[in-house]
Amino acid sequence: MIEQNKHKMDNTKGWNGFTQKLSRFQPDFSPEFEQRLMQKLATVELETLPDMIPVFRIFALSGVAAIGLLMIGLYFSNGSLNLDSLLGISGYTPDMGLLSFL
Amino acid sequence: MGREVNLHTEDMALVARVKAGDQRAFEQIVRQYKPMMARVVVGMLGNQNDADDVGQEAFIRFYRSADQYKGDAALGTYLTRIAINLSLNALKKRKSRSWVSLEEKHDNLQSGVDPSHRSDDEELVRKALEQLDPKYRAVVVLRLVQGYSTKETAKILKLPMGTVLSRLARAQEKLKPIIEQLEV
Repeated sequence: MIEQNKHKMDNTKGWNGFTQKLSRFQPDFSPEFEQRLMQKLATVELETLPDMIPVFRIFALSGVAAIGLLMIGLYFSNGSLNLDSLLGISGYTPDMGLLSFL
Repeated sequence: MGREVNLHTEDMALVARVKAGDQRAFEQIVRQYKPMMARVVVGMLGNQNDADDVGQEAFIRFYRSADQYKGDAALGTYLTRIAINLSLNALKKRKSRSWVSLEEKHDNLQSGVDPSHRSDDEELVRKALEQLDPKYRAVVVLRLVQGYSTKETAKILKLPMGTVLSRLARAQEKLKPIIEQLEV
């Protein structure tokens, strides 16, 4: 009987006892775990739902492409890309500008 | 076996509802798998605040990538894989941050679970696991706390079965003197 009890006691200590403790290990998260999780989830959904970056990228890229085409068109029609051709006054002389005011 | 099949079918139905944007189904999954996730994450990290953060992050990762879950593995195994990877990442960050600020220590003391409410056995398990290297700790948590088979543990950690067995043996070697010291 004493031997049996001794054996029982030994089983609660050492490696065998520890493996039993490991299998019974039942920790828990803090009581607010679920509430905080749902709050975080709501933030995540707000961040991801109105994802405007791809839309913005499409607009930006088409804008850059339009500007590029405009510059190429200007270069071929005026033969250069100086300030006058960009402003659309490359064919005008100062006198003609004055005459148009009069 | 039949019960497992039923559970898997129920889980698949819940996941399908999560994919359709049903938040209640997600809450049900959280309630169902929270104890299991706590065992993995608290076993890996020890610290209650870190464990809460990583546990929440694991559930959020699952929610965001629910479309990728095809049901090849049980939902519990899938969630465990996410939790163990995030825990290992958190431990790496903790190591590189080698110091803990006073503020953090204060936060840990203020965390939801009062250490005095833990049983002696739980405290002993936490202290012993904390002294193990993360790679050994992961094997012990999966194999001996969660009760996964060696094959399942190997699959979750993406390791050969031989490595899992050798790490388990090494962990046992390292833990024996730690336990003796803690049990005195």
